[in-house]
Amino acid sequence: MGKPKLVTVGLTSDAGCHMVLVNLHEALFDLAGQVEIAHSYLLTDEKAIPGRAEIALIEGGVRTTHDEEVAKEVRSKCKTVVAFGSCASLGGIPGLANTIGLQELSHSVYGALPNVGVPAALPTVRPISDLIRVDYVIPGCPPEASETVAVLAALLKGEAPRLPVKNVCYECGKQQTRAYSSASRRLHERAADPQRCLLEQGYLCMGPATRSGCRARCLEVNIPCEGCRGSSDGAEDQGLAMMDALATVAYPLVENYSLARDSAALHRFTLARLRANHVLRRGEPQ
Amino acid sequence: MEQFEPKVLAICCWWCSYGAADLAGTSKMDYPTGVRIVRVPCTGRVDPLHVLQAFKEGADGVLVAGCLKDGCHYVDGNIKAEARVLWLKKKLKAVGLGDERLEMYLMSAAQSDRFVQAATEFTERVAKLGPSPLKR
Amino acid sequence: MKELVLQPVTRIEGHARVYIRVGEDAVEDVQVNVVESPRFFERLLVGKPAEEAPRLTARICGVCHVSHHLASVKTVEAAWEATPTTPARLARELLLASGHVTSHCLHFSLLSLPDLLRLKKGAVSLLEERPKLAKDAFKLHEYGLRTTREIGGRDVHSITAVPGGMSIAVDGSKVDRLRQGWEEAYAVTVNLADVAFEALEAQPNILLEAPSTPTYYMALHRNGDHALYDGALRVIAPDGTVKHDFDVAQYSHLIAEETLEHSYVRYPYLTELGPANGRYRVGPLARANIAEGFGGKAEDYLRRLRRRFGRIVHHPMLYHLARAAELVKAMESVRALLDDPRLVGDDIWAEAKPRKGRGVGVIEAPRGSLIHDYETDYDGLITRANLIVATCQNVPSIEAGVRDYASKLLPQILVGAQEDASWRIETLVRAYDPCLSCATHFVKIEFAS
Repeated sequence: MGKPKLVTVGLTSDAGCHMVLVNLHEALFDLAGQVEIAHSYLLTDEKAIPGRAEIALIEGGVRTTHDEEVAKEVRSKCKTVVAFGSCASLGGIPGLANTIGLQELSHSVYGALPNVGVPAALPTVRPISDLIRVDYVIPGCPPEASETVAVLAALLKGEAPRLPVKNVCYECGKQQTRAYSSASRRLHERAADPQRCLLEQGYLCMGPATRSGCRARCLEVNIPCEGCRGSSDGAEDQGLAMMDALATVAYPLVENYSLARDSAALHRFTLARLRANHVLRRGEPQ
Repeated sequence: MEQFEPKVLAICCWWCSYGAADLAGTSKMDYPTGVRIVRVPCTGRVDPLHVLQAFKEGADGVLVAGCLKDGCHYVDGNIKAEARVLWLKKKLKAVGLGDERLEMYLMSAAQSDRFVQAATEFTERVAKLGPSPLKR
Repeated sequence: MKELVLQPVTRIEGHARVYIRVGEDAVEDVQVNVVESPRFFERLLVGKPAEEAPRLTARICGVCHVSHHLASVKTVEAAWEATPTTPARLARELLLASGHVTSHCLHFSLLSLPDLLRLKKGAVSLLEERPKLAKDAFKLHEYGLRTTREIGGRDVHSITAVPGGMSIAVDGSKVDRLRQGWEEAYAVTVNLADVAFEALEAQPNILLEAPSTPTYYMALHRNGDHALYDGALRVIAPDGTVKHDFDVAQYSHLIAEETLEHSYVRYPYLTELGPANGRYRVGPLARANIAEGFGGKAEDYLRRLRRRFGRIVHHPMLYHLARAAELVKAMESVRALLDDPRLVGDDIWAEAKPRKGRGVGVIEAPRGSLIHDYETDYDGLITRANLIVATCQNVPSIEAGVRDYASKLLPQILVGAQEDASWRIETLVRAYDPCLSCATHFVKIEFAS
């Protein structure tokens, strides 16, 4: 009996999640010792997905007909399917294009959409869970190396992987004073006190609505959290959960509303999952 | 011509607006039958997700009814609810649902007439808008 | 009539397929279909606060996020007329050098070295057959990655660049940490460069196999020298004469883009020459041709390349050697910047004010010139964005090269030796180190008989 087969694919993605695998360096050697990397677009030359594999990592969301086909093929051939990264599990930053109809998108970038020899674009970006059953998720844009290794290790042992359930504030080293600024601040405005909670100082830091596990790395370099890991268990929609929390402390953020700005702040990685999505698909003007 | 009767979810707080609605009922005051009431301890409990879920489940409009400005039993739950409703209205408008299908009204437990007025006015408004586009 | 479809072209960053239709005695049609999904970044940036663009556009590519992050912040600064502080600029140059180290090292070890050594099973075969080389490459990559993390904030998707500076200063202890391990990593770099040069020098027939066509070239330069972070754009003709030297803000007068129906990449060309004749290339080969010199020990490799193959080199396979020389230069730049006392300064962030404006920012990414162009309104929100990424400027040449190579391999293809022909054509594509995640804002040689 050979080693269990691992398949990795990239749908509408930027290879950032695959880079996490590559960046494992020596640990990638170890992984290659435990599994047979049967198909991986960046790492192997094998063109076809094998008929049967144990674990599949899918990076990327669904934007084209080709993405749909690959996602379905992987689901049918692989025992355990893991949504690898925020595009696969949430739609990711490409999901921000969902506020704009496909006609306008293609017109603004290409004129007429290319249609020879390339797969057709679908009206919106979707997370893979919209199309196939997903067994587990490794969150993040990109995921944490250690979490990726831990999830794979658990799966290889036949155990269910577990993700942390707290929020980023739990890991953040900034000081909270519980006094909230009444003015909102943008990223280009230098913080008065980099040691103090950025949300309190008026920045839209998604920490409260974001799953922990990243060691609040961005906060360590004085950059507010973007929410790339999505929400923790129990909060179905990250953006609405953050809106919920913010409404209690930051009324000024409600002023000067614009969908473009709001979605980039509250739903930067999760807009494709927003429940009202199929209204967005009608290409309603904003 | 078919009369469209909107399904309106009224989220009422235990301390004030639910009392008002109750009083309206016992006083035999009429308000549209399409209004379904859900009781929460305080409107501060209302999560934007609940509102969106209501629309997804078939509501044509959502009405949030809380205590008067300084009358919240939990001090400022109603103020927070107002902020959430305000933001959510803008978001709903941006995504194409319009900002007219969600509203917040304030009243005391004794103001049964205010509840009836709110329920009726809101239902009429939603009726003019037609069924929610989220219903398929 | 036969159709040859290479799908997917493996061991490149991104997704492409190559379609070749072969007739009785000629290649009838070649398409490089960049099937990489369109993500419409240029449109989704509209309405967003410009200061968020560096983090948003980093997500165009998980390999060259550093380049996008920096091109983007420069663009915002150009639009808002803001100038970063000196320590911030040096920190960015260090971040960019680390990005070149990781990207060139990755391409070299995982993607191109198996091709140069004629190992036919890809990266996995490198791990199996040349494990020491692979481990050395990992060590170098790790050093580069550590530098990216320390300066950029994260391994993948840098975050520290803000309009006017960087969000956190580089302090003495950070410099000390980064000095550790540099010697060992540099030794590996030099060794890898030697392996690359020796492989090609020992098998000059590799150059005779794949066809080569002279083109124009474009790159940044600073007074004629190799430059990555800043400078003027220079275009040279196939014979090396300078055709244009221009400020980056003028790029749209010189470069136009053509939409094709068969690819999600738009094809740039030199406007004055038109799409058919205006093909130009970017990246290591272009920079090796345009730069007078590289400086340091990297200069030795540049001279070695020129002595052996000519002052101006056109062959796609020589991208590998230009890249090797650049890898050495990148490591030397890291050292020079770490040794620069101006790097450790508290004045890391001069706050910028949003304004209505238009800015262009150009960075030499590992794969070539990367152009970001934004217009902003009074509140500093983006109203329009255009991106020209490195690889898309090379795709027309890749396509033409595949066409020529397929024609050359026609006898082979017609008698059925398709696997070998496919592999050869893929090595040509891989030489360019195409980054197709960037190339959209795909070689399955299909035979139909």
